[in-house]
Amino acid sequence: MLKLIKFEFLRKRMMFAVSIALVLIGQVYAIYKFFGIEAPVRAIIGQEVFAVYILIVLVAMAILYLIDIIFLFRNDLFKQEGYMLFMTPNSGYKILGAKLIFALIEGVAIVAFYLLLVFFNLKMMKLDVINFEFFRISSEDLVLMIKGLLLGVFVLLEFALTVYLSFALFKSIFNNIRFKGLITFFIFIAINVFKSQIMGVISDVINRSPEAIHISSSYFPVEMVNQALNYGLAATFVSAVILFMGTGYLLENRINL
Amino acid sequence: MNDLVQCINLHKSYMTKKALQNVNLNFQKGKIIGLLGPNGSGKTTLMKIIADLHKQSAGEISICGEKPSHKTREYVAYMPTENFIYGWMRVKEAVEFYAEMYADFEKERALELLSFMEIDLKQKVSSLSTGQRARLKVTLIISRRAKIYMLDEPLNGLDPISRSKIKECIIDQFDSEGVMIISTHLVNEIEQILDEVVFLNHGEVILEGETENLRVQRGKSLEEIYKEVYGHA
Repeated sequence: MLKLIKFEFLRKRMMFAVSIALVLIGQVYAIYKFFGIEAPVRAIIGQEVFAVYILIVLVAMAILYLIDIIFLFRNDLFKQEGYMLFMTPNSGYKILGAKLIFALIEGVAIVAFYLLLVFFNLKMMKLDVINFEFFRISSEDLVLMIKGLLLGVFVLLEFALTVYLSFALFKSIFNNIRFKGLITFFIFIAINVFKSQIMGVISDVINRSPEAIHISSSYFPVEMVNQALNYGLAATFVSAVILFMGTGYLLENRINL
Repeated sequence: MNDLVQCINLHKSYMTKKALQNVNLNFQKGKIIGLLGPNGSGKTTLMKIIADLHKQSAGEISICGEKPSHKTREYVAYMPTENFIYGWMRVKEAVEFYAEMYADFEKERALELLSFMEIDLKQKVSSLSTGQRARLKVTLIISRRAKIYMLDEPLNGLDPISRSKIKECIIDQFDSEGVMIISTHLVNEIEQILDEVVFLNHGEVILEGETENLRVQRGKSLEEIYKEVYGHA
């Protein structure tokens, strides 16, 4: 599996290099603009610009990451070059697993890069000296922030797995059926509706638990957020495992490339 | 085990189209077999089922005594007709990929063949000409010590030099412990190297046998037999 992951990295090396270069160019431009603002108002305007900037970068990174991990699988399943991978003596589970591990590593790397970007900007623009609560991050808050970002990565991965399952259905069970694209799309929608209903049930159960009632009555938001993140991570993980097994089975036993 | 590939009542359908019907074949080691037929006759479908890239709709198939799976891909070296080598790779990386993925890949052999094929290791796959790509594909497949080699239309759309190099490579590198299945409709190009032939039409085997026997029985070259068979099919 390590060999497969290694080749995924080699495949993406140019994309990584270009992405990092673009972010760094954007960063240099942001710094230039920031120090172009007159000193007395720099901190006030700067913090607003900075807040918008990190939000845009976050959303852009999440969207690009999602597109990237979907194409990670799609290109091999639908393009001629995918034969090179699917002809190797690796099982469908292994090929899928390698792609997921690669996507996870990529996601964690993006989160780390993003956090570095945020803290570098905070230090460089000296925004932590002003009275701006948002940027006063304690170690407890930092853990929550990292958990939240990881949950974001997991949710994107789990969503990508839903897309992967739809692709696998398209190329296997429905490969010889008319309107396979439409049928697969409806199945994709159905899986998502089913998933959201299950999540709703889990959420109800959690909210009615004695522990949740205790936490919500204690007015201790950090603990509440922490608990919600933990359940979110667990539920996403279980869903991802089910989707992984289904997609792996189709790749291994039913595929028609 | 002499029978490396066995097909029993093999069927494959795509919606209403029958790609393979009741195919019964045995491919034995030490033979170069020509899978002949016009476009859409089922040659590629059969090869993809052997390579475990397609699943049959009915019937049985065994590869070295096993059902096709990711494990049997260890014995099967399949060259699809498509450009299947990643365009982002350099030739050297494609060789590395094969060396890492296949235990039977002989890197030294591949490097020698690439030199014979006049392909630069540093070149990007996407920048190779059609002929160079075809030569690279054959090199990667032939450099394995597989039991079953399958080349799907290896000479299609190539210049005479590329054809000649590929034919030379196939003859020189063929291992008598394996079987080589070559699909083509350019019969005259490979007639001399085929031990056996299978004629497919609309997914059915319409004629098969040893090349020499067919030539003697019918008093014709293989190309003439091909024209006769498909002229009436």
